[in-house]
Amino acid sequence: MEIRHYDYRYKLLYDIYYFFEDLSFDDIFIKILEMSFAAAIIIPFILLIRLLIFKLPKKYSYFIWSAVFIRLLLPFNFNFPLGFGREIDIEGYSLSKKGINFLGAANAALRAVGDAANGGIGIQHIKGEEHTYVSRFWEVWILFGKYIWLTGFILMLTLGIISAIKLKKKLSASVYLKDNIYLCDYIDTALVKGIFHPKIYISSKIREDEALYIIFHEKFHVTRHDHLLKLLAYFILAVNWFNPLVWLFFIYFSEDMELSCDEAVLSYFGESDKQQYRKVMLDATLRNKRNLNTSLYFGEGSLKKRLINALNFTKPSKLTTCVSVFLTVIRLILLLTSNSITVLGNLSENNDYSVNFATMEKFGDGDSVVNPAGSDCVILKREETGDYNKIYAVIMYKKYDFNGEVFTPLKEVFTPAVIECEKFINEAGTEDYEILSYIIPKSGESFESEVRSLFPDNIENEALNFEEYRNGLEYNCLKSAMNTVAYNYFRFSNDINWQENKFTKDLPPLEKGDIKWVSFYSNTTAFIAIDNIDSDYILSYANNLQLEGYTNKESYSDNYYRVYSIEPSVSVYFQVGENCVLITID
Amino acid sequence: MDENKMTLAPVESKFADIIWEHEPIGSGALVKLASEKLNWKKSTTYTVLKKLCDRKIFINDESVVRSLISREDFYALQSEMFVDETFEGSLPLFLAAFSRRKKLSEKEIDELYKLLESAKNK
Repeated sequence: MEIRHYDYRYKLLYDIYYFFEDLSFDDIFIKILEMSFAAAIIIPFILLIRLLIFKLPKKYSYFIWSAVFIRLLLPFNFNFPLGFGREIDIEGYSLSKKGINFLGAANAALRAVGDAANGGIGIQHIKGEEHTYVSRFWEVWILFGKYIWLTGFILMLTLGIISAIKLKKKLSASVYLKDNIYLCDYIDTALVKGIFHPKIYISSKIREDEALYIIFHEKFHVTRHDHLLKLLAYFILAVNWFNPLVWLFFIYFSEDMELSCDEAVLSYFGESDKQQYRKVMLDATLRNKRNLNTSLYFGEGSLKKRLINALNFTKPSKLTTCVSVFLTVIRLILLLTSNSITVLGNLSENNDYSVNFATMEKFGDGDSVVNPAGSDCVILKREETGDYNKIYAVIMYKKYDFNGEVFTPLKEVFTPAVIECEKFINEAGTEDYEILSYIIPKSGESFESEVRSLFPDNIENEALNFEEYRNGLEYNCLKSAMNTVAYNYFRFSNDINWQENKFTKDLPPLEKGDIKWVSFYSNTTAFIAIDNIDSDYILSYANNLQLEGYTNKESYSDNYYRVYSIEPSVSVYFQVGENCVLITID
Repeated sequence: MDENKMTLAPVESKFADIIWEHEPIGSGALVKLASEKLNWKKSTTYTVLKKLCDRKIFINDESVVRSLISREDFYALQSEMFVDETFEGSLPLFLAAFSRRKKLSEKEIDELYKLLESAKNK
């Protein structure tokens, strides 16, 4: 059992370190999908904004594309309180490779198709033992998806490299003129090549009067580091080749890059020269029949557009300039900060994620003491009178088969449930809930009518749409775990006695920390594999849950289990035989 | 650029001049010269050389490079081709266009007379 100790002060460092330690191809692939999805949200916005500021100089359009660059290159999110719309958060990922949770609309899409393809029960080997497990619907897609992506990525890189090599060949037969400008016979107009020492190559086909403008245009590209940006954009394209919006980004970004460069040249020269420059561009259009939009180096883009832009270009008044700059900056900020996107189903306004509870059957004479735990259920309604709570929720429950040695997971479903519980203060001094009773509608013909009769009118439909909450629940589990008590460490000291929060000497040295623990009873003897219970046997929902059960036969009953989690986790609900037990662990 | 046309692009002309100036020249020595004067790699030199040989301007005969047409003849051909394309081969038209903007100097007129005389006598 691995215990990670975290000092809150260095949390960020630990996060980074463990992120890389656990990194796997799966992780990277999913991260790419997520980032691509996030970009897919902003790109249409930027395209729309571009349309709106059509009349304004293209340099503003060029500028706001930086939002896409940042979003697509940085794998982490900022969390500013600003942002348009609701708080949207796509960050469901970032835990270890085991509990991969890919959320959002894509998830729903995958699920629809995946369910069909993936009835599957897979075999997983944990610690040498065979456990069957029901693979999650998206795992099939990740399995294939990541290789498909890799193929595309390598293809894009190869194409890029090949075109670079071809170009280099052409450019080798050139003559140095001055500064960093070379003359070459085998190109049509002009281009910039090179990363650290960019060189401008101009065609020998251009006329003397054109030369000045063309050189100026290319030099401007260099000062603005366009050659680097183009390369970066191509890399982004290579990574996100599967996303058509990113192709749009590349095309329009290149276009804006060229157009804004033209504008810069035009604004530098006087009015009379502008005519000249437009003429230059016209000649270039006629000469440059090929339109290598996806080329890494050719800086031409759509010359027709460039001409139109140049013809329409007039130096904007001071007011227009101020307004445009202001608007652009605001947009940029909005785009950067509204970086979380939640794509969830329809959640009720009454969602209350603060109640955590565990429930268990009352068996025998034991007290059903329960500690609240993770917020992994969607609470539709809570009726509270004093300490008594009646909760209408959608919960998740897992069913296991226990043959005396091994737990075999059978299924996991989401289901509406009505739970009655009572608040009390536990040994640790915090609030807990004691489950008094719970009702889970039986599946089958009567399911709908049962739900309708159990749930109040205004939420019964939501309860019936519980499948929608599936994603939300998974997501919320992780989110709350991460955001609230993320990386809680948990240490008991050696001689903690059960009654007074202490343990026997057999336990590893630990100190009691912030983490909550849950105790539960079961009357199934078979379930009480006291000495053998092991994290591997209780398959956690998020897979990063580590459970260990200890008993203290002296202080309570024989079948008393204590379960605690080392890391924050999500709910584990299981049903053993006839006994239905829900445990949520924080 | 038409591969078979006997023309030289500006950068190629610089390279051609090197050959004309030093021919006949071993290909190895040419590579060296090109590297000194133009900063070209060996492969570049060979590539461009092949291009020019394909156009039948030069020939690489067992690693010895020499020209198939002299520099003067080549540029004479260029002028001819230019007049052919622009003035449909009519020299008078060309001269008319040439002298349209700039007046011919006395010296130039004398030279022209001499040329015409010698042409008449041929």
